[in-house]
Formats: sequence, structure tokens, C-alpha cells
Amino acid sequence: METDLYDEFGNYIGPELDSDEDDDLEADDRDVDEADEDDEDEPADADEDVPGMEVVLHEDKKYYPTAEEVYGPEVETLVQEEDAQPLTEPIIKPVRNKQFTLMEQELPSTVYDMEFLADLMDSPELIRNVTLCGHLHHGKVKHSLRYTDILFTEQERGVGIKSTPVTMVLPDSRGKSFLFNIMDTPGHVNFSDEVTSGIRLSDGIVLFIDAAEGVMLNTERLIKHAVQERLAITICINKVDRLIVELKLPPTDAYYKLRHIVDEVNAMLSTYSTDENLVVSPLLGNVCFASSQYCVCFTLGSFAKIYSDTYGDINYTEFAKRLWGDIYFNPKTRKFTKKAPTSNSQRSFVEFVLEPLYKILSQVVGDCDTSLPRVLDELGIHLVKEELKLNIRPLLRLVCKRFFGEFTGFVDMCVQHIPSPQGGAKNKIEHSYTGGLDSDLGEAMAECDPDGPLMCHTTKMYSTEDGVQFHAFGRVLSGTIQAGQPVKVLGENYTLEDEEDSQVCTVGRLWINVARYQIEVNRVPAGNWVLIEGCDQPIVKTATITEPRGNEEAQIFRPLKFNTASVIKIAVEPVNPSELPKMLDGLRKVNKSYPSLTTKVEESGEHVILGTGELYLDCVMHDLRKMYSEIDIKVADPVVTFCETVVETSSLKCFAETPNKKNKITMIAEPLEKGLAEDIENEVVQITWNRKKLGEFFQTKYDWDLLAARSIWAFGPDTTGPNILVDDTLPSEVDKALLGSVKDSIVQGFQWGTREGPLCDEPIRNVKFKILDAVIAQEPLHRGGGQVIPTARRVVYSAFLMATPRLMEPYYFVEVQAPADCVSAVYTVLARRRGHVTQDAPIPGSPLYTIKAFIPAIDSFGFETDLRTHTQGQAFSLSVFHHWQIVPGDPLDKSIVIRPLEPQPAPHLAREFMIKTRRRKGLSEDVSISKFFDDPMLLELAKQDVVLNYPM
Amino acid sequence: MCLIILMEGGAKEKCPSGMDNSFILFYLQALFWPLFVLSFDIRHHNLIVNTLDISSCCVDEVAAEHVGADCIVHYGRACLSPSRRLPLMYVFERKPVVLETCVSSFRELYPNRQSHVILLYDVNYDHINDDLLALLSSEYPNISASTLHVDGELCYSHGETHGQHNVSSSQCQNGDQVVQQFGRQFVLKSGLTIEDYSVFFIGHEGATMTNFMMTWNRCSFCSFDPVTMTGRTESVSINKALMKRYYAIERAKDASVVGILVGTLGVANYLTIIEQLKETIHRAGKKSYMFAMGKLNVAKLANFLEIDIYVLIACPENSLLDSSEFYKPVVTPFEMEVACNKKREWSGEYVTDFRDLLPGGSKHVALANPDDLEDGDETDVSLITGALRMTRFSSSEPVSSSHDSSLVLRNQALTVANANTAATFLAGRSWQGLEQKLGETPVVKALEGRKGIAIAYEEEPTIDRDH
Repeated sequence: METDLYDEFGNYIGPELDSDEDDDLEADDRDVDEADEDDEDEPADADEDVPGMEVVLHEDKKYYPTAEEVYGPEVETLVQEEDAQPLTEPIIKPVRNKQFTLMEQELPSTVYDMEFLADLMDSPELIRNVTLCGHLHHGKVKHSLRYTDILFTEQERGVGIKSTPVTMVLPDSRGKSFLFNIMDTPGHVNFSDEVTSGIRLSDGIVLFIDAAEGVMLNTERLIKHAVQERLAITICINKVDRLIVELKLPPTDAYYKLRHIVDEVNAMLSTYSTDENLVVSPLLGNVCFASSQYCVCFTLGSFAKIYSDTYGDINYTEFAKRLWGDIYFNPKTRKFTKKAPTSNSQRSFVEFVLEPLYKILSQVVGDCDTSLPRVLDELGIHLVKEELKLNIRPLLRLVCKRFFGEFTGFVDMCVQHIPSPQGGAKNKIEHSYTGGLDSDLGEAMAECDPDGPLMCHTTKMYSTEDGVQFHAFGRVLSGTIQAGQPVKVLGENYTLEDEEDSQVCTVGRLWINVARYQIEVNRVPAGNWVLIEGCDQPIVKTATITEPRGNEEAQIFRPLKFNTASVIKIAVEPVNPSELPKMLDGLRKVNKSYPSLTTKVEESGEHVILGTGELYLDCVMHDLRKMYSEIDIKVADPVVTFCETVVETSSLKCFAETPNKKNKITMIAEPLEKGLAEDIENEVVQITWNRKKLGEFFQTKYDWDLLAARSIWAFGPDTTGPNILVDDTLPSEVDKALLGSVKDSIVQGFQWGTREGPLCDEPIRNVKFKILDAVIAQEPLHRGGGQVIPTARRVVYSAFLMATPRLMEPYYFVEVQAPADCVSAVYTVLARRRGHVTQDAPIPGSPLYTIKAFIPAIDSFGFETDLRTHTQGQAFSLSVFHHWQIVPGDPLDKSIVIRPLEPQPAPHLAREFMIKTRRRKGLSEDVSISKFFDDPMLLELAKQDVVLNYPM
Repeated sequence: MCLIILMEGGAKEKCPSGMDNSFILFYLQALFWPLFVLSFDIRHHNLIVNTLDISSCCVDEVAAEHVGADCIVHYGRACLSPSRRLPLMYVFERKPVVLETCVSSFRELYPNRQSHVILLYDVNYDHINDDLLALLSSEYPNISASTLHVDGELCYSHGETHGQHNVSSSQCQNGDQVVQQFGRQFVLKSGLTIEDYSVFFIGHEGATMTNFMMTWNRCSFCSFDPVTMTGRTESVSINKALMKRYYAIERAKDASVVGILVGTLGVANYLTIIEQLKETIHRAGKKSYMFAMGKLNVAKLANFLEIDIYVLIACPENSLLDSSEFYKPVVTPFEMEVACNKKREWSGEYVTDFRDLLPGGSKHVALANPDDLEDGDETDVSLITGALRMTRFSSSEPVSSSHDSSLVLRNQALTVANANTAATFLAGRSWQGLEQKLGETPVVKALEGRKGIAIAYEEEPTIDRDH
């Protein structure tokens, strides 16, 4: 459009249009012509200096200056067509800065020199890689003063979502500096995948336990996990102040409570570990006590040191050994005895540790004006006037900080009980490296050799502040990674035989991560943690980074093994279908950002996101909508994944013939022994073992006979799938050599079948398929994969359907904490959701009850909110996937009528779930069973008079 | 002159029983009257009744050429895909329809008299077209009836005059738009697009209706089944069906070896689409093999374990194959294009007719120019397995096999390994071919082996050709 033909209100002010021109089309053409002419004429106008007298056609006249004349040539002027853009969209958009994390703009000043920190990186023996973990709200973050909650969402919610690495220099009680790489992990069970990724990089954990709440759901899971990952375990009993201020326990009871916690932890350690030396005790120094809120943190050793500093002349290590357990101090003999000298004498821990603590607290809280300065003077703490006027909490914090000093006790504990990267390397790579350790490379890693070939294991991806790019976070196990260096990134599917999943990238910058800021470095030697720019693209979850060439024998580190399962499923689609590519990009990014998240397209074409729980998926959706894709996304109601299983042995031998009628396979299905499915999934038993070892496992642990145990063909649907295919044919009846020639095809058919069961295309679980008989054609031509694979699948299905098929659903383990008067309400809420309580007991030393229960995951949506409503917010619950359980009812019972919008009685549930899943997937309403049976098989069924309550 | 007429499309089953050759001849004579001036004696004609066909809705021109037919009569179900070689005539069965029920169910389904509705028929119900239109058009002014319109110069349908074929422009004088697709032709009022219309389909649910629904998936569909005499709204399931096809596309993206199934030898331009697909697949860094295997079944396709996915080239009605029973999925050329052509995006629009994908077709999208793409590996995460997949856009020509030893420029030193899909597959197989077993087996003299081809060796007297 020509600018100067219109005024600023859009009214036409150009030359008159010929009014007798009716046809719009022509008028448009004319306008265009005019515009063209104008352009051509302009230079001519400029030439003619003499204005005024000559005849100018009115369409050549210039009434207004052009934009260029007004604003000058360097200003770009845009003229917008009317309605070309919606009103809501500004013509010139303000520059938007996306920021989702709180970052320091500059490096903050620290008590130590950054150079010093960088120097320490070269001495692996002075480094400790530690994961801080614990149950929700047990004070992991408080320990670091919420400095590690860097996401805005984390601060709003008051709960950790992402694990955050912090690197700092801390001195121990002797003033020696150590470089601490600390991974602060979220405590909510939904995010235990984050803990897993942190644990993989660490040599030890510090487990935080709330002194008042004791060992909780996640505490137990973390202990189990750390034992499995073979890490050093240390305990920090936090919030000791709660015993004094909140529960108001007398010192003796407080001691019992603390001892109870330590005993509980030891009981768990002995359950999960075979190593008898793995115990925690304050005497060993791997238990410390803390109150993060008031800056209290001590071990027995560090407390004893305070005594020795004050009174001098005390061997504080010997003294510390007598500060725990049933040891009493006899003031007369000035000796420690095992028996109480008098009936009212206190245990040494109470006398020397708790009572002073109680006194300080009560002095500060109770009587701060009169006697406090005097008492503090005695303790050698001198406060100025302003400080004395502080409120109680800050004052208490100040006093405690002065009294206990820095967290040297904590540092001592980590230094003594958690191995350095050098010491822990062997243990680490034995557990996580897939290759052999006796190679040069293995030795370099075991020695943590900074001059060896580069090997770096990354387990997490951190997005940049604006959520556009990702940086990989990992640990250098050998060699030194340099900024700008080319590296080879090996993915999770890389093997020496199949090198496809590998790519060469160039490392960008390198950083050391300190939560809210990052220190850029040029090189990071073995033993340290590093944040790497530039090689995020080929990494999905974890990766192995190595030299681009010269290190061909490098194998990968094992992918993470999570201690929880993603069973909650939501389907997403963009509100505006054309924004699908944006959403896909967003999905790709959240997939990188959350370690155990799965995003995939289901057979029905839906994009589903699988997560561990409601909170988890809520965070994922926030990131997807706001951080990574900025589009409107529709979310379907959450559902869970189901499994299909059998509960009996097939009522008759099922057979099927190949289409060419030359082969016939006979199978039956039966349920697996209890616990076997879990063993396969947890890789307690592996199909890759040799036949003898595999056979022995099944013979000893599950009482299989020798023949069956030796003839296990496959697990399905994959190598860790919870179904087994067994060749149960007899050599006298079946030509084993012939059968062996089609083994591959039958296994493929079995795996195909178990991947998508016949009921509603969900995977089959916990079923053993036995091949009883097989007639195989002599000619290879007649027993090709094309004939055998689909047939094997059909036999699997028919055997499955004859063995009383059932659906399985995931169950959550729920732990609820509630005051005594709310317990009945908790029962009510659970009962309405098909849950049942397994244990209900008071927490010792507190007014709360712990209720442990199981609840079906599908009925757990909104459970937490429901629970809070019914208990006026006094109950608090956490739930985590626990096991699979059979859904009551027969899914194939056609007599059941599912009425819409009505809760179904229990026996109808299986049918309801199956039909609804089929509908969602766009399958036909009911299973057409006859499809899986041959005609002769159907005749057989009729002959044997098998009672099927479902018509064929 | 000898006229060989090929009758096909299941003529045998569908002809009234007891009908002998002479009857058919007579029937044909009557049919052909308007078309051919029969200047020769009808008794000398050879008649071949052909029921051997890949898909009974398409015209099998190759079979016709084998017998040297001069003309084809297609009887029964038809997808009306154009064929180019021989004169062709369609004969449709006239199935009875109770007009009153049809009209009343129409009224029920469209209570609004101003609704814009397109009437579509199964070919067997074409004969009620005029009667139905007469009954409805007075009540519904915005109704638009479709007429059968066989594309192609040499095609005729019974009762149609040849003159109609020359409507080539899609714009009428009054601005109304003529749509010709799948052998149907209907008129859209000016200013309206097909999305503004609803579709009323008369016929059974089946491939024909699914094809319409997939193509015009934004329209609301209602159908009337003359056999059960019920009308109903259909559009609920179509989204599900589209989503399932989307899943197929994702599978296609993951695949590295593609099998091109030639399911038609009759539909015009099938060779062009094969060439285009080969090029597209190659550019996406995948391998393709071509298969011509007549009627598809599960066992046949499962014989080729190396293939990750199949593309079926067939007429629109046969392309949409429900592949859940197959060991490896079968997709349409459109889906393969979405998976391989970076410029084509999944937007919910769906093309069943592969001719639309060809250059000049309404839905053609050119391949990205090789120069525009940085020749490198692009990484992407598979949405099915969650594993990383690399889409290698190889813009280069395939390395000619005659220079096996010649050097090839390495891709900016970023290539780690030359992924060879065939070799990978072989490595994962338990039987990798004959083992030499040098020194383990005794030396014997050469024996005479089998002779002949695998399907029928000479020493095997009885053979079973049943697969």
C-alpha cells in the first residue's frame, strides 16, 4: 500500500478514484500501477528544482513527505496493513527475557580464593563427592540455607525439584581445606530419580533424618538405594532443636529418641546389605547432629573438641569415644563406667552433650535480658549491644554459631567416612562401567589418573537460565577435560559392536557449578564434577564422554537404574494443532531435563508423558508450557499403565498352524512364581548368563526342575521383561534340531505377543509360556520367519486367553502422618479409594501417627488434596510406586454392563478398565477372541466342552 | 478383428447364478451398445472372465495385457482410480435403497434446513442420485450432490456420456468450485471451502467411506446404510484413526530399511510415485527395497525380517491398511513423505491418493534443496523407543558401486562410524550364513544338488503354491 495516499487514520487522501469504475479487481490493478509509476517518478521529481509553474498531474503531486524524508534514511519505517496482525499482538514486541532460575550476576565474594578452589581440583585426595539426601522436609536444603533452590518454582513451592550441585572449599576441625562437591537432592519421593543421578556421581551420601519424625518412607528407600549403589553412608540427624523446643522432651527421652533413629537405620542397613561392617554410630563418627536453623552441627568428636579447647588437656578423641551409649561419668572417681554410679546419674551423652545444649537454648529463649550476657561470657562468646537486641531466632543462631563454630563436624564426618574420588574410583567403576577393569583404561579410571585417557560420565542435563540450551553435568573419571576440545559422546545404546549411538562434538565452555553461580574453568581433571557446554545434542539421559580417537576400547557407563517406576500417564496435545512441532521440541527438552521421564507416542497416536507422580507431572507440565515451548497444551485426565496377566494354567494345550499348514506349535501359559518377575526386572537374573548359571538360579531359588531350568529360551518383551518362554518339549517327541532352527522366529513371536497383550494392547506380565509340542517342516523354505513369527504370536495369545486372563494395575505405597484425632478420617479417605491400611502406629516421642497403606495408583489422583480436606490440612501424605496387583473381576465377562458416570462395583473394575483403555486406543470395543484360534483349535474347544463364559 | 474383453472386479461371484457365457455376452452386448458401434459379429468374440486381481476395486491392466485384451469391463466394487492403457468400462450393481427411510434419516441428522451438505454414494447406490436429490433439494437449498466422474480419457461408466469429461477447470463462471476427487465430482458454493460442508454418505462403512473421512477429516460425516436402514453420525472415530496414522509416521521415522510394496500395477502414475519415494527415502538416509507381491498377507511380509517398515502403493481405498496384525507396520506414501521430507509437516491434513503427492499434484511438497541443508547429522529422540535417532540427510548421490575402492570425503571428521543397517542386522542374527568349518568336516566329492527354483525344485513332484 502506498503510504502517502492515506492519512494517519487510514483515510484515503490520495488522488480521486474514477467513480465509474465499479469492478474492484480493476481498481486494484490500477492502484498497483499507480504505485509503480510513483516509484519511477520520484527520482525525476528530485531533478526538477524549479517548483510551482509546470503542469503536474494530480496523481503525481506530492502532498505529504514520505516517511524516509521525515525520519531520515537510517530509520526503518513499516506500514502495517489493517488487520494483518491481531490487536492483541504488539507491532513492536518488547524483548522478552525468559528466566526461570535465580542466578547471581557476578561471582560472589567467598571466604576462599577462587584460584585456591581451582588448585584443589588437582589433588583428588582432597576432594569429596557427596550427595545430600533425605526424606521430604528433613532439612537438606536448610543446611545450605536454601541457596540451592534455584528454580523460581522451587522457591514458590518450598520444595526441591532438581538436584543442584554445589562446589565449595570447607575446612575440617584441624583447619585443613577440602574441596566439597555436594549434590543437593530433592526429598520428595516423586523426584527420587534426581537422587539416583546424583548418587551415581558421588562416593558417599549424607542422609538427613529429622530428629522429631525419625526414619520415614523416603529415608528407607534412600538407604536401600545407597546400599545398592555401594556408596558410603553417613547420617545427619537434623532439627535436634525440635526435640527441645517443639516436643519439649526431657534430655533423657531426647537421647532415647536419637538412639532409636540410629538403631532403626542400622536395622535397615543390615536388611539391605550383606556387609556386616556397614553400621552407623556416633561413636564411629559417621553420625552427626545438627539443627540447620540455628547453625548447630556437631559430631561427638567436634563436641569433645570444644571441651578440650575450653579446659585444655583432654584427649578429645578418647573423650568422644565415651560420649555415646550406656556409659556414665562418675564425678567422684572421675572415671567413665558402664554402670550408673547413682540411680539418678545421666548417660554421658546426656550429661556432656544434651544438657549443655538444652541450657544454651533455654537461656537464650527464656532469659535473654538479665543473665544471658554473663552466661555467654563464661562460654567465651562476646556479643555487642546491637546483637543482644536481636530477636530470639537470629540471636540463637548467632550464639550457636559462635559456640559451635563452622560446620567442621560435618566436614570431619565426610572426610573420614566418605572416600576421596581416588579411593572410591575402583568401587565406582566396578559398579557402573560396562567394560572390563583390567585394561589400561580401567586402571587409569581406578587410579583417577588425570593424565589418562578422558572418560567422563554425565548423568544429568541442566538447562540454561532461559531454557534454550542444555549443559551436561558429569564426573570426570580419568583424564582431563579441556574447554574447546573435540570429544566423542557415547550414548546409552553404544556398544563396541554397534557404534551407531555415538557422535563427535566439540566441548564449549566448562564450569564448576555452585548453585546460583558458575565458575568458568579451562580444564577439569579426574575426580571432579563438571558442567559441559556444547555436547548436549546427542545426549538423551546419560552419556559417556571420551577422546575422539585413540580410546577405541572405551565402553559406556551403565544407564541409571531408578528405584521407582513411572506409572502415571498423561496424554498431551497442543490446543492449536499447527503448534505440534513446538510441542515436540518442548517434549524433547523436558525429556532431557527429568531423568526418569518418558515421553512417547502410543499406538493410538497420543503423545503421552510418563512420570512418577502427580507433583512430578505438574512440574513437567509447568516446564513444558512455560519454559520450553510457550504454547497452550491440552492435557487428558491422568491414567496409569496396566499390565495383562494370567492366574491359572491354560485349560488345554493351545496350538496353531502356520498359514502353509506345515508347522504346528503348541503352548500353554501359566503364572510365574512370586517374585520372579521382579527379579528379572531388577536384573537379579539375566538372560545373557550362560545356561548353567541361569539353570542353577532357577533350580535353587524357584525350585524349577533341571530340564525346565536349562531350557529357558527368552524373557519378554525384552531382556528385562517379566515373562519367560520355556521349551518344554521332549527330545523323544520333537526333533530338537528342527525346533532349534526356528527358535529365533518363535522368540520373536513371543516377544511381539508379550509387548502388546490381547486384552487391551498393554504389556503382558508375570506369565510363563511353555512350548509343549512343535511340528516343524523339514524344508527351510516352509519354516521361514514369515510363517512362524505370526503363528508363534497367535499361540501365545490363545494360550494366554485360555489361562484365565486378568488385568494388573500399579499400587502405591502411601505413608500418612496425622495427629491421632485425624486417623479415622484417613481410614475413611483410603477406603473410598480402594486403599487398605497395613500399619498404623504412633511415632515415638511425638503426638503424630504414621499410617502405612496401599492404594491403587489409578485411584490416587487427588488423594493428597482429598486427605487434607478431610483432616483440615493436618495430615500429610507421600506415595510411591510399590507393586503390581491384579484388578478384581474378569475383564472378558460380557455379562457386565458398564453404566456411564457411575462408580463400578469391584468385580466390574477389570472389565471397565479394559473397555476404557480399548476405547482410548481406538480399538474395537471387545476382544475378538476367535481371531487368535485356528478352526481346528475351535473344534477342539467344542469337543473338550471347555466352558467359556465369553462367546467366541 | 477380435475383441477380448476382460471382466473383473469379482464378476463371477456377483453375477446372478446360472448365468452362462452366452448370457454374459448378451448382457455385454446390451451394455456396450452406446459405446461401440458393433460392426462385427458378436459370436466371434473371446470373453475372458478375470477374477484374479490384487485388489478387487482396481482395474488390473497388466493382466488384461497378458491376454491381449482390447477392453476391460469392470464389474462391482470400484475405487474409480484412473487407468491409462485400455478402454475401460465400469458396470455397477444396482442395490436397492428404501428412499423414504433414507430421506427421513437425512432429516433427522440435519435438522437445520440451511445446512451445507454434500451427498456421496457408494458406487452401487449411484442410481438413486436423481431421486434423492429431487426429494431433498426442495427442503435443503444448500445441498450438493456428487456425480460419478471417472477420471481418464478412456474410461466410461454405464450410462454416462463422454462429453462430461471435459470439465477440466475447477472454477465455474459463477464462482462455484468444482471438486473432483476419487471419481466423484461435486460443486461447492463460491466462498465456501470443503470444511464448511458436512458429508452424507450412502453405503456401508468400509474402505470407501474411510477413505473419504480421512481425506476430508475436517468435515462432519453422517452415513446411511441401506442394508440396515440406519443413519448415524460418524465423525467421532476419525480423530482416533488419524492419530493412529500419526503413530505410523513415527514408526516410519524410526525405520532405517524401507520396503516399497507395489500393490497396484494399474493406477496411473504408480511408477512416478515409486521413483519419488525412492528418492525421498534415500535423501533421508534410509535404504529402500521394492517388493511386488500381489495380495498382501501377514506371512508374506514377515518373511523379510530386515525391513523395518513397508510403504504400500495402491489405490486410495486400499492404501489405508490396518497393519496391527502385521509384524512390521505398513504405511501410505503420504506418511512416508511426512516422515522423510523435512518440509512436509504433520498438520492433520491427510492425503490418501498418492497422485496428489506427485509434482503437479495439489499436495505436492518438493524435497528440501540439498544445498540448503547443512550436510550433517541431525539428532532427534525417537518418540517410540526414547532412543536417539540420527537423521542423516545425505544429499550426495549414492556412491556408484563400480568404484568401491575409491575414497570418499569424510563428513567434516564428525562421522564416527559408517552405519550399515544391513550389516547391523546380520550381526544380530543367530544364523549368519554357511560356516566354513575348515578341517572339521570330511572331504567329499561334489554331489548333484537340487535343480530349479526354490518354489518348485525339479525333484519335488507335488508342490504347494499356497504362500
